[in-house]
Amino acid sequence: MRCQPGDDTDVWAATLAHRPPDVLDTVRDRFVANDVPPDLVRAALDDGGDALHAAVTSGATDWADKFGGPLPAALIAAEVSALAAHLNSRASAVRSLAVRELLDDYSAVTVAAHLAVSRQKVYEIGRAGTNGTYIDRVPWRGQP
Amino acid sequence: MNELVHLPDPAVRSLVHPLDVPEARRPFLQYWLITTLTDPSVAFCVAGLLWFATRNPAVSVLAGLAIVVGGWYAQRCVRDQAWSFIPGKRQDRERPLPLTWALGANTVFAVLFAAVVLLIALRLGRPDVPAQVRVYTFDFAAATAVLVLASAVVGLVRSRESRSRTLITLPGVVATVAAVAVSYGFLLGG
Repeated sequence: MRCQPGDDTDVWAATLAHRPPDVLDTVRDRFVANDVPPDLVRAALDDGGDALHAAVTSGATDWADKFGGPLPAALIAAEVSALAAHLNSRASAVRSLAVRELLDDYSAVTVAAHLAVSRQKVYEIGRAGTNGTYIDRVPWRGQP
Repeated sequence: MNELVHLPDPAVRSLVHPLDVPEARRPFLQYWLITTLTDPSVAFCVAGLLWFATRNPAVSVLAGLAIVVGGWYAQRCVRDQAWSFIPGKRQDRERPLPLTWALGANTVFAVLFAAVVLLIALRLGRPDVPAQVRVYTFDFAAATAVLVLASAVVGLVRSRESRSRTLITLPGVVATVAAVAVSYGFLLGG
């Protein structure tokens, strides 16, 4: 059943850019093994999962068919979640660095009051820092 | 964005310590008390005393660990709380504690340490301990006390900087020398 990725390797790498390099191959192989083409994944990421959501709430019994069945639909939905988690960490990293800068110039009491979080949380946010690299553009903005 | 904490004027005092900020004094005092009472050396002495009291090594080891681990966690919370009143750039992290505070912290350890040494001496003084073991142990303790005393004397006379550093260790030095001297009575006197 296993298909060769062939020339699709670059397409997959671009589609799964939000995945850390060490898991990218595993994720791609799972899609390939289940006959999910990269453009289907790409389309779901481009609309942030709108089509998946619309299909599942349509009430149709065969809603998953246009994604290739329930298993591909589950894999594609998981990829939307992975992208959302990636964007979440990217925003957290920015927040962490901004809070670190604030903590240099203002007391944690003041920063906490302005961000409406506890003082303990302010330190936690500042300590989190950045881990890893992040994508430069969200898929739905297209290529520059 | 305005600073909500009322801090000393940067022109007068650029670096600020929690002791300079009224709201921060209380958590800082708590931090100092917790670090003093849960210091590993203090926990070690308390564990030793508990061993004597309960005759159960497991209880004493667990108590010692609980003191160190619980203390480490608690001091971190109140320390962050104390410093949270001061912006990062103005934090005076290097400022030494007032001399009396440092002396107080070392006195806590010194008293506990002397108690442990005296209890060990009492135990070694019982008739079931061979005289050679008693003499051997005491000689080692006496040699240690002499070294401690000598290093304190050197520290006091060497330089002004080392003098203030040595001064705060004096409770421990006095406790060591006194405990070993009293032990002489238990072990070898009479």
